[in-house]
Amino acid sequence: MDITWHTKHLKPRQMIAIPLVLAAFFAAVFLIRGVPMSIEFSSGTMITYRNLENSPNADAVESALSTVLAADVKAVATQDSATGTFGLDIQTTKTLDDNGREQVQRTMADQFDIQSTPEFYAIEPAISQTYLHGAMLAILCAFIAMAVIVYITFWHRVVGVMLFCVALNMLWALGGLALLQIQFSLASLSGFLLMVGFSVDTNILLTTHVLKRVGGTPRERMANAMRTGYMITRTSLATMICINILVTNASITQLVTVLTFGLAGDLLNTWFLNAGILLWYAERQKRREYYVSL
Amino acid sequence: MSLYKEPRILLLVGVSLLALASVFTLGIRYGIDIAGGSRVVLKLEATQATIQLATPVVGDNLTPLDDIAVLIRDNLLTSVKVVSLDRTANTAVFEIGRPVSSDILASIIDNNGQVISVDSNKISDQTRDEVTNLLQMRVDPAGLLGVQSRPMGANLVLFEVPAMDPERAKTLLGQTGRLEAFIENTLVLTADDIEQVGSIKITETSGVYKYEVPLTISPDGANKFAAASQGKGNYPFVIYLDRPDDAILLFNNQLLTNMPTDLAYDNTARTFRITISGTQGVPESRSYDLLVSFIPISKDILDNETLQTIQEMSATKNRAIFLGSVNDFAENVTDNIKAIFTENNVEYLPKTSETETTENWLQRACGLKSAPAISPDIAGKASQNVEISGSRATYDSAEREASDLKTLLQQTLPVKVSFVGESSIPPRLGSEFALDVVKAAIAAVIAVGAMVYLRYRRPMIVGAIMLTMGSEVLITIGVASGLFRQTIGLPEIGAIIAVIGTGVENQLIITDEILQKGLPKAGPRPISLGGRIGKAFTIIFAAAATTIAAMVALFFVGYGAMKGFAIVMSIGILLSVIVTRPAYSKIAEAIVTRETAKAQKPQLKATQ
Repeated sequence: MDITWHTKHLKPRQMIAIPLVLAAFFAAVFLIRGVPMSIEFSSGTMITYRNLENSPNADAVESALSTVLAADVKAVATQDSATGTFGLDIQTTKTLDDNGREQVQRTMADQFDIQSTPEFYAIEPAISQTYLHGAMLAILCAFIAMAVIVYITFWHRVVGVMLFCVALNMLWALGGLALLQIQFSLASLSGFLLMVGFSVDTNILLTTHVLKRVGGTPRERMANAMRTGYMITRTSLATMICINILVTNASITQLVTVLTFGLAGDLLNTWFLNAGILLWYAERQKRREYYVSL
Repeated sequence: MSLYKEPRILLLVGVSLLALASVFTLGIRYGIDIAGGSRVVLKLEATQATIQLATPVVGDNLTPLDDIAVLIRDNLLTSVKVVSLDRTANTAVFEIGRPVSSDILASIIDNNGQVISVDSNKISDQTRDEVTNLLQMRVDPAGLLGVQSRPMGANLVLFEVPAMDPERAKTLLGQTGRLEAFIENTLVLTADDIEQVGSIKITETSGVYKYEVPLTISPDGANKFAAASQGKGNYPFVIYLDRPDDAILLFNNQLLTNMPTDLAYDNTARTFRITISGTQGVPESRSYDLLVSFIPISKDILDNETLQTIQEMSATKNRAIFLGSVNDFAENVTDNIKAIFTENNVEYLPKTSETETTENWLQRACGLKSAPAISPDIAGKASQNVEISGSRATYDSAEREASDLKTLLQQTLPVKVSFVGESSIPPRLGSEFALDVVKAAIAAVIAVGAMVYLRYRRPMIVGAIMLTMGSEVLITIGVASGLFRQTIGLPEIGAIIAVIGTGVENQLIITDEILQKGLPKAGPRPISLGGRIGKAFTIIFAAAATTIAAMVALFFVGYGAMKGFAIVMSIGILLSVIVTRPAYSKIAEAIVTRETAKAQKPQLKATQ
């Protein structure tokens, strides 16, 4: 199978259309299904037990309560550094009413023999609204910084498209999380940041070949770059799939899912969308040169 | 040239060894996900008071609000801000940075307004975010630790601090940074007078390490100092940090039977007097009072007289601190005190070690930081330079104490904070996670190896790529964790994966360029091997610069977890493009050159 088929046979317009349609699909999935937020990023209730004689089994509590409450539960056994007694901090994404609180206490008493009355606190996301604005600002600044660097490197206005492609990869990853209903957590956030590094590499590979190299037609240079780029993405994707099969840890799954969708998106957004636009630009340039030489 | 003499290879070997050494000697600091840490819950004690204004606010003239704010600020020595203003009802909500009762507030604002309601368990989101931010800066100024916080309940904040012992986390998080300096019981300076905190200085004299934290005070503060120190050469200048003036300190009366000569308890002032004798470099002895209420109690039983005194004092004080641990006092004694102050407002302050002197213990309980004698040269002069000093037994503890002090003074909190609890927590990801990481790593190595082999069919290239991957992991961890003291948690592991991921990408670009698969007529004439590698590096440097630009932006604006990611990724990518990837290009070049040489030999033979 010739993976560079489209570079020979498709018009730039057609190349651009395919990833845009898919991006619209992922945007729709994201908007319709939404991405579930992990405990770190959602509000809920914190239930704290103190002064316990024995160290409680946090894992057992976690599974028992998540069944009872039908919500995400994270339990942590703690030890008071002053008295040496044990404690239990239970976080849940559910806002508990009196009924829910009673349910928790009954479960704890029946199944774990913890009779004492816990404290209930409403908790807000670890990233508060102010921080969320900060995070948005951070991402915006990161894109501006990247734009400045690629502009300096290539001295070409068409390179800005690259950043649009990187942003679309993020959209794919968000769509992927929504499609599989996998949580957006600290781990998925890492995945998003990680993807930026990967997609910038492939886009720069493409742009260098098309804009800076000499010899061959732009389409040939693009095909050449794509063979290297496809190899790169294929290697990363194969790695992600291997990890996904071998590892069941939730954090790793979240990170890997983001990368899998992001990299798959990168294949299309780089080699069809960015490539299509660069090609359109390069071919128009060519025509102009032709007219001038006449 | 032999590969072993190639400078790029030597650089790679050198840096790898350095990284290995730093991992072994300095160790890796793991994040909370992997190594656990401490969890500290803090209560932000602000008061929101709704006040009916005597003078209505007209247009942009906010003088009536300012007047009230200034009155509260000057009387309570705390920050005040207006949260909301209702122009039609002519009321305003003030946020005050400490607990205060409605009676006290009413007496302060006098006829400027009328207190409608006081809510002592409320804090605005804005203030809470501001305080949380300041507190994070204190424990984690460079964002290397990966401290996490989240709001809890109406006015609590939960902090998770990895790689720091709970005691130190508590010191940094729990102090307001309220500085007060006294000369002879007269308040001379407060935190508002501090203009700048200088760099710390540590000197050693006969095994004792003395630290100094220099402060620059405002001209106004300097004038106050001049007036108060007039003719007070050699008097002690007593500096407190977060003096517990709202607490009574209860100590075991046995302490009084065995007092050092420079310490005396005053029954009427209810406090200790410390005397600096002439032998300690001061011509004549001077003494000063600890400006906190101390009450002697019997450890077994609370007699009626003492109980009554404490009850009377509870009108103005709202917490009690026992000098000693829970076990140093009988249960009925502590229960009685808890009944007066409620359980949450009773604290214990044991000696840090058996060797701590009674005097140091009492000073620590009062928040007394230092009591240097005023040099006769500067007494009565408007000096803007003040020093806080102290002594510790080791260099490390002196350095730590001084830098903590500096942090606290630089970031004074707008509200009072108190502890709800602190505890240690186990790693979040558990031991299975380590196994999963190993599995993931093996999967990655196999997948990358297989894909690379399928493409190039050269085991040597596969080996070289694996070697480079390994050294990139080692160098990134070694430098980030060893030298920069960055904790390695989940986000940082993500960053390491990103580094080796882009690393493999770059190595594939280099290899493809060297082997020049594809395009046959790549130019007017074939480009040399060196030129082709140069072309590959154009891409690599551009990509690295772009990624690093994004990471630097993330670091400066980002939220805690993003910072760690940005730091590790920047370090990793920077070192990789400087060290490992150039080295790889040399190795790959050597492999290809040898192959071509081998391939050419039989051809030569055939022609002969």
